[in-house]
Amino acid sequence: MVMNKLSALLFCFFVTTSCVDDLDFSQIEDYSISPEYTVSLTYFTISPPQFFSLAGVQLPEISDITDFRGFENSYARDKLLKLDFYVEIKNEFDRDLTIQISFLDDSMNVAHRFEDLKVNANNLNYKFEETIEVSTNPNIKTTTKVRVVIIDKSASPLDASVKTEFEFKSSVKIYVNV
Amino acid sequence: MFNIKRLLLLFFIVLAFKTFSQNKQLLYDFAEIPQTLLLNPGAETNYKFHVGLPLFSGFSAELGATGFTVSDLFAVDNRSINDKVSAVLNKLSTKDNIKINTQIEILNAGFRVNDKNYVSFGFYQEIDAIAYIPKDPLSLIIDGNSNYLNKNFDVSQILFRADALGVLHLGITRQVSDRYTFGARFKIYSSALNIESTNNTGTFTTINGTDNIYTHYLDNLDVNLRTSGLVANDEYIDTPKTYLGNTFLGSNSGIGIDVGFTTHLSDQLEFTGSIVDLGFVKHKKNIKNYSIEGSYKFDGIEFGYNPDNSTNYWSNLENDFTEKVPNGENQSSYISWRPTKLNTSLKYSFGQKRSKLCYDNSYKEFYRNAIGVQLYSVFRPLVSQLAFTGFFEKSFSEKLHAKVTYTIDDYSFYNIGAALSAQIGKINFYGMIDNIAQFSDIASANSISLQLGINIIFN
Repeated sequence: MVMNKLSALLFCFFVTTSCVDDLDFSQIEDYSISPEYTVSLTYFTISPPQFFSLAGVQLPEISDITDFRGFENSYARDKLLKLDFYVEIKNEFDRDLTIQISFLDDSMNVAHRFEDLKVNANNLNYKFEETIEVSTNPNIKTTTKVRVVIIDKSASPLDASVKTEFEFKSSVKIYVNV
Repeated sequence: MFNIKRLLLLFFIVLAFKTFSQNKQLLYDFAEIPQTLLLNPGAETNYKFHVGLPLFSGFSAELGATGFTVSDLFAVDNRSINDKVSAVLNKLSTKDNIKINTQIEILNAGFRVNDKNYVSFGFYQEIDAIAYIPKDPLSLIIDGNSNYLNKNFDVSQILFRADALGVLHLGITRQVSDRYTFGARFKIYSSALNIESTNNTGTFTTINGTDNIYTHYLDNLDVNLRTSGLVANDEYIDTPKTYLGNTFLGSNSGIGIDVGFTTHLSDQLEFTGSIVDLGFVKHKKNIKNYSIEGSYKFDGIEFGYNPDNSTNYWSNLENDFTEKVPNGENQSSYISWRPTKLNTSLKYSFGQKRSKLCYDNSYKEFYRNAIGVQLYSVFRPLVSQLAFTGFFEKSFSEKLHAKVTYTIDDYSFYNIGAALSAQIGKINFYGMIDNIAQFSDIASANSISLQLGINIIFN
């Protein structure tokens, strides 16, 4: 009996002497994080001989392609908000070159394509930026391949022995919201 | 379904309190409560035998973290939750941590063998977990790397361990002379669950590149996660019954000892000390370990424009990364060390003397008042944690004792606790609570801890 009274006394003491300020745990529902990740993409340096076939014939364009499986993860795909692409080019060639960057789906259909990048001859500081809002360009999330084509529209022949280079660098800033 | 908001809610609620882990400064060397023998097997006893009320003889719960309080995050004010979370995360350092410790005694009993020796034994279950704040990895998740060029995100900040185990123990307390009492306790640990990630290394850095716009580095990455009792036959164990069953003489077992002493430097001056949980658990069943290690430099995917030899760049990248930063799973057994605790105290008794009945029907005199200091240390993965306590004890009668403590440690300079031990007939009741100064507003408190229990004691 005495034990019960003692227990009750202690319980009452702690209940009556303790209190809390107004709290609202539902605030956590409004919490969101919006990280921004910067990632390098493709890069290359080409020289004039790469515009020639093994038979020595000058090619009007060369292209390369890579798989891209970044959107295979459904969580990443669902949380993606926006993509900022950055391209930096140094063109030492004596001719204008056009770059086509295409994002392709599994069936090689174009999910998104940048406007053509027209790089003037000897432009050593070409920069390009493009933002893709995912909400208005949802097809971007079907991308599984990226292709970069370099087109030489010049009528004049290219001298394969000239030691000039064409440098291409790219990166992307990825905006997500969780 | 993974819900990061619910996880964050749990994280912050837990984070909002702080704990002293197993620093039971109120219980230590107090009123000859049988449970003090679990903190110092060399504590003095003056009873013939005791039996703890099964499941109710000893319960303690302490949880929380350093750095902030619940109201910092969830007070109803006009600030956005994002701002509040950012402010809290900015305040936290990598030494801040979340800790949880609960113990519940299933059985606690003891009996006097003869005038000099008292044997005590029992079984309790314990959950003990600590996680340090991985500030850089959190920053990488919450903010990303875009605004942190050249910053080394330090992966070694990932440091946590969690244990759920049962402890079967048998101890002996021997009074060598009127002046000296020594004791030792042998423990058999049975781990139901262990999850730990310690001794990780590595950094992730993004810098302006030369071949491409940016270059990413993973340097000296070596991250491990060891688990035991969590996965069986490639499936998570999700039945509480299995966990409970494994706390008693399960396959993942270990041994440990406690040792302690009490010595009377004079009639009024007493010095005590103990080492608790010097031991380990060997995990060998239901093991699932994960690891990843290596270094990697990533500039991006370099196109070759070789029409005669198309390259699968993505596969090459994956293969190269896997080769240089291999990750894997294994079921290798491993050892986890228990968090060893050190206790010591110096107590000066004074005031009017009283006498109390001892087990041999003699009467032992004791002072009504005592003051003293206690020092506590626990070895944790990052640094040892220290707590310094000043205390005052008062015996209102032979059967009613109280203790007030003032504790200073890494987290607080004003933690006041109070304990009461009462014996009515053969029933001993004790209750203890910490951080009374914060009771007027628990949400703003940095710590809450509670210990209580009921014993039957025969003098």
